[in-house]
Amino acid sequence: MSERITVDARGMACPGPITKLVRAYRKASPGTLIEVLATDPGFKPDVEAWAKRTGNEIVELAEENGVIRAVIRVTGKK
Amino acid sequence: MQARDPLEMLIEELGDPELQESIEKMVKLAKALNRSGLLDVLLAMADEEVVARLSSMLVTTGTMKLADNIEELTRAAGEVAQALSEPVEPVPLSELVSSLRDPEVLRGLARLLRVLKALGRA
Amino acid sequence: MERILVLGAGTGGLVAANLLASHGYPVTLIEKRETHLFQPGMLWIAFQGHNPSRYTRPVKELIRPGVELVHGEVVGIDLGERLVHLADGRTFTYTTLIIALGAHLDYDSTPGHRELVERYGDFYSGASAAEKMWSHFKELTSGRLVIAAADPLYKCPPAPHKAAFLAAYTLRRMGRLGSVEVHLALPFLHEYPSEVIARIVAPKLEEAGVRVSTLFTVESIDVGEGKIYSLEGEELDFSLAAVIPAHRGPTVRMEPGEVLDEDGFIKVDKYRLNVEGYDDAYAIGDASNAPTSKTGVTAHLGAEVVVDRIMGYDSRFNGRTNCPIVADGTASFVISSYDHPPVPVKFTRFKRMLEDLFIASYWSSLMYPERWAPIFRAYFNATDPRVISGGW
Repeated sequence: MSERITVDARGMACPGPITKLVRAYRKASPGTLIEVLATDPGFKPDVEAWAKRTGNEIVELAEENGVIRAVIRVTGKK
Repeated sequence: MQARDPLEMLIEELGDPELQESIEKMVKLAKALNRSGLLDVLLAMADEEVVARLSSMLVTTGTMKLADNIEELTRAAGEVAQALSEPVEPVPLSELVSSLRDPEVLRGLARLLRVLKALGRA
Repeated sequence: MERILVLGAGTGGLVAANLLASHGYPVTLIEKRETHLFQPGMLWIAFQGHNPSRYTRPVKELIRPGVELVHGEVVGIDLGERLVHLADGRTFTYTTLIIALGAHLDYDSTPGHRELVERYGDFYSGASAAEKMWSHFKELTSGRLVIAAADPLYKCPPAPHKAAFLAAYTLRRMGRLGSVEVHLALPFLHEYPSEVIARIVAPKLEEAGVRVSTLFTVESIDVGEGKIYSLEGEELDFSLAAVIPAHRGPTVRMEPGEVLDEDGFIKVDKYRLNVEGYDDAYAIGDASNAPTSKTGVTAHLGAEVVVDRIMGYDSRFNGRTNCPIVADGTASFVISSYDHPPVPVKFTRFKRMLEDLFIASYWSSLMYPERWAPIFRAYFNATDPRVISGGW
């Protein structure tokens, strides 16, 4: 099973959640799954744009009870 | 670095003719302000509560927006003043309707509507 | 006996100490440096060649009677025992503590960064580093100046933008903007963390002739080869570069350690600014984890809240920011608070003049904060983000 990092950015306003994701990404090795929990509605388009630009794969992106859960597989790192 | 005696430094400074001249002028100014009573007014105004009232009156959302747009406002006022100084003939109704096709007139009307809206809000 | 200890003579520490002294409280202020630096001044030293003496003053000339100044470096804080330890072995006790130690600039977590700053200076680590940057910048006749950041969290969010603007204007005046490229590489999705501000800043940057890369978080620097590599997998060549370091909490031994977050910032109640779990210790400015921008304005306003609370008023900090973005002859402000995102504030000449006035009042506002409070309060009320939410 691949390594998994969870980032809790609930309650943080823009750009908090993306900042936290970038920091987790810095420490992550290729193949790692990064799970981000956020409540900022701007996070959904932001994480999609981030993944597209950096060449990482969004495995899951869902919203439940106001909490956005994004799971990203680190594929953009060599 | 050795700390110098402030009094010594001051005495040295006082030998400077430019400083002597400035001090003479400052003394004259102080006397003139005092004679006119302006110094008393300034002293009374330097009170914390007066400053607070004065700044809450002068620094408002309105004045901040006004000062921010002063250039546009004076430019528009200048245009209006110039238009006012030019001689005009009464406009017949038919020409009034056709002038509504002029984009400048239409833009002016659109602005006027916005101003009316803002006045309504205020 | 009552003894209020203020740690750090930056903006927040000086405002807190001088305010307390004006109300008659016994205050001890501990600071390791001899001089206070107006930090935004580093931008003008580095990219417009201003004299550093404009932006520095001895700490002892910035305190009022009633403030006891102790020269020393804080190395440990014990919140349970109410003790503060200095590097020279001295120990201080307190009845109330205000931690205003600022952020630690971490040049060691990015490979090549320390070598870069030692060679070229920058506009974050001090007046002499900024002078060093100027000495290289003024000789730059061709190539590329890169302004970048190693992490999205740093103090003064518009600092890299201001650096790029100032550098571009200086180059234009020298007639070199055609041969030297100013390249702003930002660790954000857009030209600014807030998209609202990005839409206002982007055309201004283009007008100034600044090239922009987004999603470029510096991961390593090869000074010899003149290359910067990003976490996102891109690279930039440079002739001269200034990279904003990652920021961490103050480097002191904290007891208990749980009051620090993962980056070493001190966890506070974001409204009351007391250290989590303690009602006799506060943290203000860059040292705290309050979820607002790390700027002089937030440090100043935080200090006022803490002094109010010490005096028994139920004052709350609202996270208000007022970060100036200075362009040529005009300026904009990033105005936000805890409960309001940044509002669209356009660049105007009037705002540039306001910023000039804020800078002119800086030294006086550190020493006599209570005299400036009514004027600042009027300004902050007039420009409350809820009031000007439609724009200014």
